[in-house]
Amino acid sequence: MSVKLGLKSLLTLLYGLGLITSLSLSYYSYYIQSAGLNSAKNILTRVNNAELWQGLYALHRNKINRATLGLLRKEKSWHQDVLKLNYQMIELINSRDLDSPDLLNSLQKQMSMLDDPLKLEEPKDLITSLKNEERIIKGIIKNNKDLVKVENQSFLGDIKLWLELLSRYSYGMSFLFSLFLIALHFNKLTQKKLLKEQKKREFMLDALDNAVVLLNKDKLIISHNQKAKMMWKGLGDIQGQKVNELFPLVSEINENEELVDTSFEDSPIVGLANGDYILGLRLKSFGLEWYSLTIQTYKDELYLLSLTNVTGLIQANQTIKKQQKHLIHQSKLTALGQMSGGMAHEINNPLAIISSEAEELLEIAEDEGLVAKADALSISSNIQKTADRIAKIVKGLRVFARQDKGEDYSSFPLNILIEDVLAMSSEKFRANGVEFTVTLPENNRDILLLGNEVQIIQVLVNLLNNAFDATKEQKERRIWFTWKQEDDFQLISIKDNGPGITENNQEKVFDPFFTTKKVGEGTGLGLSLSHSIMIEHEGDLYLNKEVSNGCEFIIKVKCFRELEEKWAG
Amino acid sequence: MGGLNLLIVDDEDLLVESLARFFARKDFNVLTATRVTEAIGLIHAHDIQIVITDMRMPDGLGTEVIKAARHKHKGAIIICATGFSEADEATILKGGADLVVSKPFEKKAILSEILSRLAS
Repeated sequence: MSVKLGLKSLLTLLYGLGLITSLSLSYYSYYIQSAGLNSAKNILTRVNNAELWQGLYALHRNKINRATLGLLRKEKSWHQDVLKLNYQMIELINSRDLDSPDLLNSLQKQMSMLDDPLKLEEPKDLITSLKNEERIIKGIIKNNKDLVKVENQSFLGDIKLWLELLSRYSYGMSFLFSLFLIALHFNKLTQKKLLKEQKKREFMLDALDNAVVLLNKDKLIISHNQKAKMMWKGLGDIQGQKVNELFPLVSEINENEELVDTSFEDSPIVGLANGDYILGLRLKSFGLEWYSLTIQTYKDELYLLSLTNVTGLIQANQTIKKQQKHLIHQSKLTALGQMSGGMAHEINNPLAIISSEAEELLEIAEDEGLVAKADALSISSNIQKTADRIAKIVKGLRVFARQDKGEDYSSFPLNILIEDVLAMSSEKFRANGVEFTVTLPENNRDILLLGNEVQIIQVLVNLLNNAFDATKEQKERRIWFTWKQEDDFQLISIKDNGPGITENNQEKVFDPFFTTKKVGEGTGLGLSLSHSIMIEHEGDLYLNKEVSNGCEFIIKVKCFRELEEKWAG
Repeated sequence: MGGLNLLIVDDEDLLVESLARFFARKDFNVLTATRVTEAIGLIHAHDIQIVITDMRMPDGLGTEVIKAARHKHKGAIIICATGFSEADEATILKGGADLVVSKPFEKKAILSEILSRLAS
């Protein structure tokens, strides 16, 4: 950097110096010429009126040379005077012996009589210069130029005059030349600056976290930054390619929270209209990633596409939505549980009164002979059963009121629990002609679960009973129990070949009191309770919607160690 | 069953009435109370052999009634009827009750329990 600076400064200095020098020299020579010319004019005027020697001396003293006289001769008004001088000088040279000492003495004498403040000190010098002139003047005589053809004198042959002329204009030319050089230099500087700016801009674009792509009006890629290159590296060099190449498959989340894959042509970005879009792209190296795409058009001549990876945000958003759904479901149940506490008392008491009084009535009627004993017994039994049913429902709700976990939890081997449950169910199933297929994980090690054993049994039994009931109408009743481990989760699936659950009902299946059974057969609390229990165990219970020829519920729960850490911390 | 005093304690008037009528027909001498204070008053004032009490009452819990009854009438049969078990069965039994039933209950069943305990 400092070397470059030094070079630039040096160049500038040289230009400056050159400029100044040429300017000065030109001006100086011009000045000298003007001065010379003016002096010559002055002197010649006096020569006409005075002694020739004085005139010659004055010319010599003022260093007015032949060249100046030559220039003066060109000026029309001085033309004759110069000619006359030349003629006089010729005469002088021809008539006198310049080397004679008499001449010198005579000169000295004449000079001493002059008023001219410029007194001659060395008349010898004058004679010497005149002697020098002798040669030139004799040359002039020889050529006959001065005496004969004056008007037609072309000064192209006179090189010295040319140089004088050149020097008159040299200041202008050197100035122009310097300007030219400076302009050249600055042009180069500007170029360098532009290049630097361009490099800066490129650097900025490449440093962006956004992938930026520029398209021309034919939607071909004319420019892109480093990030874009990286993003679409599977396509090789994207320069010049059509924009559809960048978006082979576009994914969106529709209103039903489902992932939908469309082609570029069917996606909302096909027109490249101004706007912001969120879409998913499957680019070879990365799998499905979500991007926020901003499109800006400039008069349909240019399209600017800018993409930012927002996969993290989208995933977080989806997780939140899922959790919200769960929360809402849970809060419904919790509200129910909270109500049930007070409700129980409020319902059981009136219930007790009704059943009590009804019983009373019957007994009295029986005693009075108004009703037969058998009838009385039957009626009484019905009343009691019905009252019990109501009481059971209210009791069932109490489970939702349970808030704290961890208190009656213990760690127990899930595999042994499952064995016990299966043993129970297998008997029942076999006795009823149900084909029961059990698949357990290969390694028979103890899988510990932290939770409430009774509740887990409740869940399994509930699901197995449901499966059993669902297959009642089937000729060949089949139930599958599959347990496998996936990542950190234990997945237990209970599947039956019953009629399955209709699409309408699929959303409601975990709602409390929802049941497809006939009135009196079940409270509709089983699945909602089971679901609640699994959530409390930091797991899940869900319906496998992809099953069409029956129904499959899947229990998902994590093994012991991780759960414990969560609760400990 | 002449002479046996049976105390029914419940804040539900209608229920008390129903039970009272029933046990009266079975020849018990029925005493009733709808408040804990009232009940305890009766416990101290009379010789009670059987107590049927509810748990939740506006001015206190049935456990207080049970405690007072057990203290005053050591051999009494004390039955706790509850619509909602805040405390669990074991605690109520420890508190002095002989039997815990949940509402609604069958009066005849209670009667047979009482009779069997009287017999022993």
